[in-house]
Amino acid sequence: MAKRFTTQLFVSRLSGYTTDQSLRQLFSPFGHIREARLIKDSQTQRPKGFGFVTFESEDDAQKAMKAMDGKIVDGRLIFVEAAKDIEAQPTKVEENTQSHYKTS
Amino acid sequence: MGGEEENEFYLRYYVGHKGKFGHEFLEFEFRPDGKLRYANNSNYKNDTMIRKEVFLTPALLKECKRIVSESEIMKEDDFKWPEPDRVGRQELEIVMGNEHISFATSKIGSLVDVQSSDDPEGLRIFYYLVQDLKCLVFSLISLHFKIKPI
Repeated sequence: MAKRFTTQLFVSRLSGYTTDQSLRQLFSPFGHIREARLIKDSQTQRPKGFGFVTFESEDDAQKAMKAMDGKIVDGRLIFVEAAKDIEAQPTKVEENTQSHYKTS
Repeated sequence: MGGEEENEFYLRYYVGHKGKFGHEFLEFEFRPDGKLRYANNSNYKNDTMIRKEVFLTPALLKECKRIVSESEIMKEDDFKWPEPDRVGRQELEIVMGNEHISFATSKIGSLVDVQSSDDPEGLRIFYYLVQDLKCLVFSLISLHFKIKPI
């Protein structure tokens, strides 16, 4: 049976003014948070508008998801869903490449 | 029996080109002491040279000599063969007993290139010999360097 990563939530459609702190504060009413992080653009370091919130307990995560999905935050409607399994993340597939002279 | 020089065997084959990814080439060399040296180089995606060396048994050297002598390549001449060009270059150098050949020509894409050349017969012999030698060398190298031995 596949292990589901249900302590982690994927939060999207956040405002550009959101910070890691404000994200944590937004979800802390639902339980103890292990980690709250925004995904930032690698070059500009600006938040991309989505991030991950990891709870200590699955129950807290489920409660938070039910309560916050579709809620208006800072004037914007946000989505909250269970983060996909790490293994299910699409990995970049290397194009069929060949270096060196073919030996087979 | 005559001196050792009569039994000397040396063979070197090179195919390569210079381009966007550096000097990409494949070369192998059968040395008289039985060492087979292999190199495959490319800077494609910042890759580096692959070098491998193995020692061959007398039985194998004998087989290689047989392949060469049956091809009758030692009777050929590269005089009419296409010159090496921007696309690439092939070199074949063989010493067998008291015979010595040293050929240089362009890359051969297929038998069409052989047929349309000024010496189809000779170039065909070269083309098939190179295929046979590559087959032998790649088999030897891959058998010797298995990551997980059988």
